Amino acid sequence: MKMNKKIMATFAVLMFALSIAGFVYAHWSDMVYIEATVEMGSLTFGFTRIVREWDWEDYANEKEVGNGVCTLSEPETDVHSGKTVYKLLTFTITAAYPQYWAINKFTLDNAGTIPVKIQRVTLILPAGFSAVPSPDYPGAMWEIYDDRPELIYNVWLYKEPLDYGAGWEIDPPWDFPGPFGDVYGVRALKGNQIEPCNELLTEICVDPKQDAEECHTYTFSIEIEAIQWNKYTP
Amino acid sequence: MENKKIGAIALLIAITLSAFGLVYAHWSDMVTIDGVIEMGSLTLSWDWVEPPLCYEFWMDENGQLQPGEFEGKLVGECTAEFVDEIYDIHSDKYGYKKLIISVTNAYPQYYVFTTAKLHNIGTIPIFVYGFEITGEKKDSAGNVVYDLLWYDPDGDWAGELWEDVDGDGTVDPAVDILVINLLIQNAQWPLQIDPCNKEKIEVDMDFKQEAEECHHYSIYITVLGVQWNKLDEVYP
Repeated sequence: MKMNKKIMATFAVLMFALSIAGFVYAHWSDMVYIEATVEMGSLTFGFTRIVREWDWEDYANEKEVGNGVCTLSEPETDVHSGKTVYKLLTFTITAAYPQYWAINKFTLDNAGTIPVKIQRVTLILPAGFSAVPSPDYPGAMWEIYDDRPELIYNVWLYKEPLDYGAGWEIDPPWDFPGPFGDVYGVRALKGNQIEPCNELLTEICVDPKQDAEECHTYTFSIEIEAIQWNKYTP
Repeated sequence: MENKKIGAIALLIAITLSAFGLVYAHWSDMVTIDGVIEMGSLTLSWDWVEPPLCYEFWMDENGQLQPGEFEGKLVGECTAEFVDEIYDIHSDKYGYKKLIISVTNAYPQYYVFTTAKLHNIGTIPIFVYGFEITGEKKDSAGNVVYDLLWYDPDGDWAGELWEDVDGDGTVDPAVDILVINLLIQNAQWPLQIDPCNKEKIEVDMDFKQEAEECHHYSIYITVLGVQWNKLDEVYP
């Protein structure tokens, strides 16, 4: 208590002395303002178009036995750009058999205002199945095994090949002059950048193998995550 | 008290990082592909609707086959039937797995022709590209005497069944005995059958002089089919 009184007294004496010497604690002041408006962009990623569907039968013979069809669902509209994309693509193959394959070409679209990069492609399988990523085509092909374990089918998901068309001009009986992925120029989706209002042509291919069982239905899901381009992690 | 310190440190780190432009935040979006692969079925069967038919013939002096038996007698007998019903769950169609041809009281120059329909009750086209033909000769007590060997050097499914007397698994005319002529015919081999389609085939047999009395010949014919797009892997 006694100490506080001393401090206050010292402060009063100091102010008094300064005022005598012409120093007064007073000033004019003025102020300016910053008004900030941050209009956030949007990041909206999805499918918009099924471009083309084809299968082994289109090349090897005249029959129409199996069929591979893509459908789009779960529309979502970007409020910023007004564009609509679809969040779910369902690829359904019917009456499949060993050596049959079906390819669908579709677009992955950036309907937002921020560039995106594909950060992650994740394959999800039901219980009892396992996936072995291809060492030759990492991130683009998986071998799917059941619990026996036998190879049931391969799944390919890749950016449209640069050399599209070159490998498809072979006369029936259609045969690739080498591994499909090499001849066709398969490249993984991860790391591909899509600018706003742009699309990435993408293909999915499924080819059932000898040990796929008759009259069975196999399912899988693939999640494709896109991230704002400046936060991409290689 | 300890918690407050930890919280203060975390806050301090976050403020420090943000001051340098490092913020753990990003936008991302995700889409999903659902894949559904419905496998078809490859099911070759004998026809569920039309039963097999068995005919007898005898050969006249002009070398022409005549229906029935010589002099109109009822000596031999042949029957044909399908057994082992199967069901294709995919196509919801029925068929049979086995054709049984029974010939009793047969004799040399007795001709038995059987017709039956193959039906593709699956969803995948099939090529019937061949047959596996084996057999046995049994005595009246049911004991196997010899195996039967299929002999068809030109591969047209018009061949012969020989008793493998020396048991070496190959036909040796000097030792083995020809007992039955066998012909399996259709318009063409390999025979393609599309889903829901049927093709009639005929199995013709006639018994040779050396076929032994009171013995029983069992012939097993397996029809070989393959999905039509894999024919080149099994058929020359």
